[in-house]
Amino acid sequence: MASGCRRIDMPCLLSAGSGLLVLLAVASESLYPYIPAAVSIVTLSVALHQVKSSSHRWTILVLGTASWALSIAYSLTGGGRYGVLMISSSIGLGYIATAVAALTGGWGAGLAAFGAMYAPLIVAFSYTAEADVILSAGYVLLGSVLAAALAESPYALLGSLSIFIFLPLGVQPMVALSLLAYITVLAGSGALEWRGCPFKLDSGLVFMGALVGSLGAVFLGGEPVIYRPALGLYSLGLLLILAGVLTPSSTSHSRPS
Amino acid sequence: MARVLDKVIMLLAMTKPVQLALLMVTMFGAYFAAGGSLNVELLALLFITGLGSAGGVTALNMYLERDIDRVMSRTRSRPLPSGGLTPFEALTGIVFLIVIGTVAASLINTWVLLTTLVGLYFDIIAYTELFKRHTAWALLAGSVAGSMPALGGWAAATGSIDMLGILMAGMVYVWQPLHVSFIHYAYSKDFMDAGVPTIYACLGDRAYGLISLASLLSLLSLVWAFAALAGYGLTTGVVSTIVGLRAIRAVLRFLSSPSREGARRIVKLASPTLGIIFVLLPLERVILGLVGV
Repeated sequence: MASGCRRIDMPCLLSAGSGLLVLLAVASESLYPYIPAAVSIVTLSVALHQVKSSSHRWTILVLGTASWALSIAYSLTGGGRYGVLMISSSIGLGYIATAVAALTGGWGAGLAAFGAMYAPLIVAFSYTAEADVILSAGYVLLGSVLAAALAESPYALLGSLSIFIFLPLGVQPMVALSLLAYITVLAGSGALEWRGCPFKLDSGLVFMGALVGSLGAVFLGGEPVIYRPALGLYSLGLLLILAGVLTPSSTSHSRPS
Repeated sequence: MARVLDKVIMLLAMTKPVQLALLMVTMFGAYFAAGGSLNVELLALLFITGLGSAGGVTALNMYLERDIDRVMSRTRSRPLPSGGLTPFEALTGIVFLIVIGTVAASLINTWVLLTTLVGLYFDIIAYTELFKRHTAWALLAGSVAGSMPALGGWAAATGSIDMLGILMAGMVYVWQPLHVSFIHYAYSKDFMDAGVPTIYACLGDRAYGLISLASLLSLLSLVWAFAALAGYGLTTGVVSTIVGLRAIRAVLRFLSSPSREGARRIVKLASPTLGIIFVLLPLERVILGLVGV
């Protein structure tokens, strides 16, 4: 195996496991509401695992929990007149927690926290079934962010991208595409295991991509007049995430043809 | 405050201002050659698109290649390898630039947005990440990105992408291998040290001459094809052919006895050809519009 590539590790297996659970759940509509919560819990566990080195672990935990509480309250009450305030506070607290994690625990911690903090938004919108597009966009971004968070291993993609399976929850016609993505990731990971991996992850770039993409995803659910800029940001976010995942390894690993 | 200003200046230096200015010339050249109006709002959006997208993507390229830049003497003094900017500072500024470029492009029309995203894909993912460190022919992918500003300029004026727009973008596409392979030729040792394959290193001296010849002949063919299809561009065709033929003569000399001086002479003579095309074509179009043809 080429240097810079690692075998599948425990967080990755956890993520892969959640992906497979989703696959099962997709077959059973009654399990739909539990899927986002289950994956969000896995993500939060990974985030806390990643920030174990941070001296501000408890700050992150408190902010994250507050963010979760607000989003769950929104889910249960439907928001009401304070809906916007609840969701924006939830997101705001989540981003602060992410920033604290990134500043004190490094990019890996920040990314993991970001993935976890994005989850409340997804949970909230899942229960109220308000915005299909935000939901599906959220899952794609969550998967990509998680990929970067999980030990910066290219093989983490195997598990993390399985979250693409969530797409059908938001947009039914994307079932086939999601399955195709899943199969491609499986085949690709097998090929990487066999041939070695010429890439490394650039956590910073993935983080920026996720940030831009999530901004676009949120605006996609807004006024039609901003649809094209939102779509542009969303596409740009995905491209930046892809660029972050495919960052070339140091030249010492490459050989001119 | 002065420190922040220094950082901003370094960030702007990462956009390679000279190259960016050339890309802007192709973008606005294509815009006016397509009959674009003097709509100030649209022109401002197009400028922001070029600065943000083309400049931002160039800077992102530099960010991703900071390990190579550290090795090569030509690039060692750039903001990232020299420590003027931290990777985080650079990346934050770069993403900001690309975001404003993308938003501006999306406010013009969908085709302009598409050209910016395609440009990013080909420059960053295809050229820099997938091909550059593995094959000398990566420049064929990178050149697609370089031709996108011209296509975007055309799309901004016409609201679509048609054959004439593709021909204009094609002119930029075929010109770039000449320019890039000269840099590879002139700094081949640097590239070799950094482990980046170049056509010169793989195929020898004559490869640069043959690429230059192919670039120039293709460029002139595209100019004449454009003139034939568009119904204007005759003057541009004649002038660029005269200038191009001088460069071709330099190429033929280089092929008979390759030297670094000969290579420099080719690029010196060939470089104005593209500029002439992207200045004269819009001028011809404007003059034709004024006389009502």
